[in-house]
Amino acid sequence: MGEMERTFLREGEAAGAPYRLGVPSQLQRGLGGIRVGRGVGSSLEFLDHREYQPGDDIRHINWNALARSDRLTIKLFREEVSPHVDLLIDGSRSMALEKSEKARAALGLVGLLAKAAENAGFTCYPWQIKAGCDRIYNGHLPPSSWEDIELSHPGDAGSALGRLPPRLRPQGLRILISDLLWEADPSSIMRILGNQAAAVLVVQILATSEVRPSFLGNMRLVDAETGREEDIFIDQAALARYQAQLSRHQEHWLLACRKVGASMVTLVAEALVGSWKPVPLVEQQFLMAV
Amino acid sequence: MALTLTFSAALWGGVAVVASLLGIYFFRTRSKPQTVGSLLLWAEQRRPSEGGRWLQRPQMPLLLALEIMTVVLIALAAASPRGVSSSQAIPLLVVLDDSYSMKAGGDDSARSQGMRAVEKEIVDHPGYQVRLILAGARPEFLGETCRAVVQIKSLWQGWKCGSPVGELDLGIALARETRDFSARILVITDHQPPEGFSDGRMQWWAFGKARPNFAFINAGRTMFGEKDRFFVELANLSSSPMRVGGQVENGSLRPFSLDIAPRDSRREVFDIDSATSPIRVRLPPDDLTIDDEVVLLPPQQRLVKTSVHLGSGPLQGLVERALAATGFIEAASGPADLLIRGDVGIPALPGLSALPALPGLSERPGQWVMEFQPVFGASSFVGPFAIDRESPLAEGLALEGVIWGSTATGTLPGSPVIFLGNVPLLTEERKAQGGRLFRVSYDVGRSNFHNTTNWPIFFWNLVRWRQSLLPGIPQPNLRLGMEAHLQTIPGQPDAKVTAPDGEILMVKSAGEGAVFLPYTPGIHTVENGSEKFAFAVNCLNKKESDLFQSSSGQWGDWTKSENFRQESLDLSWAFLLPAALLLGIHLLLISAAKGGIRP
Repeated sequence: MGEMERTFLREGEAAGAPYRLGVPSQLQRGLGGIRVGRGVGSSLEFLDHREYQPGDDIRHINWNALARSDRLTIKLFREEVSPHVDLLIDGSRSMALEKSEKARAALGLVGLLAKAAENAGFTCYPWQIKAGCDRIYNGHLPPSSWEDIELSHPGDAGSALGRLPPRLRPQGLRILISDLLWEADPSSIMRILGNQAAAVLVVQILATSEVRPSFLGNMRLVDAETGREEDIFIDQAALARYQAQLSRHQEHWLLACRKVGASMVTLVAEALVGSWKPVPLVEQQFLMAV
Repeated sequence: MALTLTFSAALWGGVAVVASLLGIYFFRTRSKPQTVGSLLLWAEQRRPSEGGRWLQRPQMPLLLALEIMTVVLIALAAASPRGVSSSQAIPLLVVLDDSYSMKAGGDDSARSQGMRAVEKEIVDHPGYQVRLILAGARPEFLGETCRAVVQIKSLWQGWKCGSPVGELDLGIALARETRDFSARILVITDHQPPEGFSDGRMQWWAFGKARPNFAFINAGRTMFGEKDRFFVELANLSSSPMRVGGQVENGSLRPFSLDIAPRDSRREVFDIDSATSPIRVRLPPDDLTIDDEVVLLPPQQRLVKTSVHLGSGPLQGLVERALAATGFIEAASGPADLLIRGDVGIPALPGLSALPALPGLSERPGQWVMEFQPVFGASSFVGPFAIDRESPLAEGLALEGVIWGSTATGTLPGSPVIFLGNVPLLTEERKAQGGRLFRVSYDVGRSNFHNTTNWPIFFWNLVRWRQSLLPGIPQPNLRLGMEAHLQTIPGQPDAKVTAPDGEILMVKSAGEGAVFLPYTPGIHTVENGSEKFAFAVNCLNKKESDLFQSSSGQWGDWTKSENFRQESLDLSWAFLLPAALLLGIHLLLISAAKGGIRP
């Protein structure tokens, strides 16, 4: 891990200070923790009474009510949960596209979301998708202390995610940060991410040259991940076809996200690093002001 | 059929066009590299039909290949290709430099290389009808017309390269006169052609190489009485000062050493004891060995056997003293080479043209006789005298103030040498086998000619002339390239000349002698009847020994002559037709491309 990556993480961590991670409604369940959940739990906060049913904890029988009415009733208390977020970052080489701010934006966004999760009391596991999915070393520490995070894998993160999926915590929030320029089927990826998830957020980060390419003429396009080259004649029609192709690709992902109830936003790297205001995430209430 | 491009400059135009074409294709279709996150979204894009990565993979666009081939074919057609059938008969006159510098270098000599080059040329062009011309001091043909290398090989032995000069101009002139304009001329030499050489009919092939050389450039041997001396002059024909050692061989070896500056020469004089034997002076052998040895024979002291029969008058003594003063006579004990006779008391009639034969003085073949005619009614005259200056007898005579006593009228047979008005005073008549009869009308009592300096001059001329025509070779030491004059024995016109290398030359005297050209340095022997003579030939020519200006190269181009256009066929059509075909295919492909099919 280079100093440059750490700088990007630190930059995102600073940008995430004013935000806290929004808690979706599905996330009001989970392991016992410090946050009040939607279910019945074992906190001290009284919720309701109901009749005893076999299997109920006899420690919660309202003995006073039994003495008065000779009926077995139980006191229900509000559940206290500990929300969790899994941050999955695409570690392939295309995330560090040369002559673009993709690496800065991706790592900065990870730092921002990790900081926002901390502000919201989330536990956070950062994952890096390379040949497989690996927990980032020192991931429990602030992002500026993370180790071994590099955007240099010469392969497709989608196939790695499908082949060796991470052991994600059930009922957690899962955020995937990638350019999604994969040949893998989005539905299969989303099924993995959406399995037992409280919520899934897919953040697509693209460079300006990927959103609106401006090069014309005979071009030798070099795949950043595989190094494969392709000579292509690009004119305005070709650019239009590319735009259509990109839109179609994003629609596939949106459709796959909808199938599992996930959300997807697209951020332009150069725009993000210009102000560090992830407006689409705020609009979808994944980020809120502290 | 051998193909020749008579306007090869057009190929450069073709190269320029092809280069421009490639440049245009390269810059127009060159792909700019651009890194993208993934080729996923570009997969359905159209690939360029031209350019691309053919630099990495040899993949040339079809149109470009067609255009290049078309340009190449048009350039070849523009170069005016012409072909000559290998079996077509073409006269080839090979002028061979016969000077001895061609032998410098041994197996690597210009002569050896030239032979190989000529043989290769004949093998490459079987249609040649080759005639060899030796360009020595004077040009001459070598053998007959040849068509095969085998025939040429048999003639090489006649190319001796023994001439002190190579008169290539004369050889070329002979070649031009030999055949019409259709003949090709090939000059084989060891130096470059003269400035401004440009002749479409001729090629000049030089195989020389600049080499340092030490050479004798001058030598001579003289005898003064019993004292014999000779000199040699050596030249350092190199670019650095050198010390050269040699040895004189005259019964014993006598080494010598000389320091000579570059491009300079030194003369050294030697006294020798043995005046009769030949002298050899040798230098260490170098690249050109022919000029590293000098042989000098002793000068010949040939005396004229004379006999004077002029009676008891004063003329006998006058003539004898004049003859003795020359130092080139001896009294004849037998037949005399020069007989001088006159009025010895035998009565003669006026008008008699010749003296009667004297007892014991009958003429023999080739004998010279001078007769003093009896004079009747003589008078003294102071002129006017007329002299035939062409006659060797008249050389140096000055008759102003001379009183000549003779008859005022009458005539003498033979060609007049000295006239008094229209009366001949001295005549010459040629006899058989080189004999000569001189008639003189001279009254010693009425003349003062014998008291003037003309008298010894006259007899000096007579004796020296006679001496020069004695049998043998007057000059015993010749330079290579000089003709040898052989005076044969009267009645023995045939002579056999044996060269140092054993080669025998039979010569026949025509008139008073024979003239031949020796080719080999060294001592030659001549057998003429019962007599044997010898002479030495030495290679003494500074200009020819100087190998500093030798060079190699080829000049001239037969295809540049107008004659080549007549002996060859125009083959431009063979290139233009395929070019037209390719252009048609090109147009077809372009049309197809506009219709949606890209080549």
